[in-house]
Amino acid sequence: MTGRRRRGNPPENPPPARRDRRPALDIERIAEPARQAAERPSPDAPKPPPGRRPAPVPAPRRSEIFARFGTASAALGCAGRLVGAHRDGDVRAYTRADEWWLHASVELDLARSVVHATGGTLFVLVEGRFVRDRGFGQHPSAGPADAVEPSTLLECPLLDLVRAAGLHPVRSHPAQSSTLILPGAVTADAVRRALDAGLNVRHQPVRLRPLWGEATAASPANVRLDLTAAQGAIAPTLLQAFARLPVTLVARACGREGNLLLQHSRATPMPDQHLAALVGEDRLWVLADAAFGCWWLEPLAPAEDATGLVMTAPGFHLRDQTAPPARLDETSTSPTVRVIADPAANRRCDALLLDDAELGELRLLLEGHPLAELALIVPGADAHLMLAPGGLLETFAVGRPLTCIGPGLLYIGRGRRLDPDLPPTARRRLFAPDPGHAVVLLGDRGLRFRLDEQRPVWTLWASAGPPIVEQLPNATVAALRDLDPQPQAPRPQTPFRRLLDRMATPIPVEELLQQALAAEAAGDLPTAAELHRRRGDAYRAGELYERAAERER
Amino acid sequence: MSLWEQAAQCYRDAGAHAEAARCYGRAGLFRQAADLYLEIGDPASAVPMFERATEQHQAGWLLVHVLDRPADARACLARHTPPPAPAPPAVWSAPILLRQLVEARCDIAERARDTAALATLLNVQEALAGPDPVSDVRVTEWATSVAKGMGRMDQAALVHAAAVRGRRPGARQRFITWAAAEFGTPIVLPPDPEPAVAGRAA
Repeated sequence: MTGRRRRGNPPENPPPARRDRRPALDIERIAEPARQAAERPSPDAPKPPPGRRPAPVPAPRRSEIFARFGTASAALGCAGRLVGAHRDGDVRAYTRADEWWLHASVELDLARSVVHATGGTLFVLVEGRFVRDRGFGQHPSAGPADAVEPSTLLECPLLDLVRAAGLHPVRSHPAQSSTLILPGAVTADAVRRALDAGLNVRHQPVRLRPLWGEATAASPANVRLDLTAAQGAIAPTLLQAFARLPVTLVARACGREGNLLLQHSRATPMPDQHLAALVGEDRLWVLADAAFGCWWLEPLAPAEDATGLVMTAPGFHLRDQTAPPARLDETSTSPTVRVIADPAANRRCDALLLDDAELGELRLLLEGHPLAELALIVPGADAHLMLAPGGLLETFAVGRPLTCIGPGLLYIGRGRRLDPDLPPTARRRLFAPDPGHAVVLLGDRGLRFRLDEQRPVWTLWASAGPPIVEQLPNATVAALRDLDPQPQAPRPQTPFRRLLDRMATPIPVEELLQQALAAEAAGDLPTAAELHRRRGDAYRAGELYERAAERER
Repeated sequence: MSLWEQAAQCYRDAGAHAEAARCYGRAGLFRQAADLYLEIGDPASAVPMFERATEQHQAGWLLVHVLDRPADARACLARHTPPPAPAPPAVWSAPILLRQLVEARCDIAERARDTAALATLLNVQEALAGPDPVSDVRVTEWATSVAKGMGRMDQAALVHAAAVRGRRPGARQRFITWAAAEFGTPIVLPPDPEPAVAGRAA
């Protein structure tokens, strides 16, 4: 170890202070030497002789100043600074025409800096008249030409100055406490939300009376909620959420007694604590913008903890656990099959469940879409089912997508499954899907649709076309009329002939689709797949074969 | 035909090869599934299909040569094939050479010494030039790739030349095509001294 001392570690044996020798660099106060000496008396310092006392510091000379402002906001800002500089001083407000005046008894140089900083014009009372100050130098003497007669000013309370100045938006700072004034209808929600955020909440019924105007006109009773964070600050987003509640004021309590409630993120030109000093001890002001207004606040009851405003769930009551338990057979309930969310299950979109409003949007999605050829709509009472033979195989922005879980056309919401999982036999027994119906399982109920009501989805936007008139030449029509009706000779209906007829006439696509849907509803997925393959839709056939293979598993 | 296979065929007819490969895999037709995965450019999905089709050499080659995962390729070989015998076999066969080629390719991918890889190429040349039953075309193709990975085009040419000397079916044409692709110039091979042995052409 060397003799070098580590930084930050105090020496174990500090060197003795040398009193007989001044350090190389010493810092001393250069102001108020007499006061410094009085505050730090040194036993070694020579005492002054009893006959000589330090000269008293002369009190600064105060002048009666008047300041003229063009706006109430500037006058109020100046008043706040004068009150801050001289707490014992008295600041009075006057008005004349569109001008605002302030009167105070302060030092002239202080008045010059404050008044000029706030954009006012300074006058000094000289021989009974207001003489305009030059802005520098000695106290003005004789009155110049622009002196003002004091009798032309009309005194007004500072409250009028506050009213005329109004509030302006300011950046809100994180606060540990805040106050809400809100109607009773939204109180419970606000209390629950504040308690959820871990705040301490106290509530107090209050009545608001107008700050300006008739004192008899009072608003209905309101509730004052005082929110306090146990640690840190209240989240600003929570306060913004409270401010969006109807007829609700988020405010901060100002002053030593908290007798001024100023709207959150608003301020007057006068600092809050000076403004709070204007409020009487037994009064409580609420200052807010025009949307909420300015009020006297009258408490109707003492503040109480607001936890009791939170309601418990219906039917909640305390149960005595020391009592002998009931029999298991009585307490246990039979398990109910539920539909639960499982994002990994049933990802295919086979059908859509639509309401009345969404039916109108189908045209925008399906007009010109290849699915318009296949899709069918099965109307219901308050819900409608859009399905397609083999499944829609595509998701859309409207409706609730469904997946066919079988047997038959038994649908469940996409990304959902049954809990507990049921085999096809149990599903058939519980939900009873049959070839004539489609069943949709929702979270709280099931819907049954009659497949007889199905119609092509394009009939939603094209139910009928214009009338078609047969156009034939007149001669042809006349020649057809002249022909004798020849009864058609019946062909012999042998089995071979029937087979030939069936092979000669291809099955129309619509009939293939109907047969495929019927086979699918009956649970015969391979037949449905084969029909789709014959129709030329190999992908849909593959889907159906895959579903059939999954169910065989 | 199972439902899975029918589904795969339908998907294949519809051009949905990924779904078809998945259904082939569910149907137990792993080789078809692997080929379809390779067709759509998904070698990572083809590897487990080759493994389940007991084509572990192909799976290992895909892992190291296409996916650049030599450790997985070695693990695949160790899982499905017995460890190689210390002494060279009396008769070379395609599975033995394919395994050695995959391991040689792993050495190259791991930047190991190329001694073992060179020995493997010599074994391949010996087997192709001799009468051993090495009719798998992949032996020539993989040996050429290993030699190219080593930067030894001479060894690649020697492999092709050995196949031509051994009168392997299509070896002459493969040699000419390879030389044209690699060097841009056609090569002239001497004519066969005698017709190919019928048994080797199988």
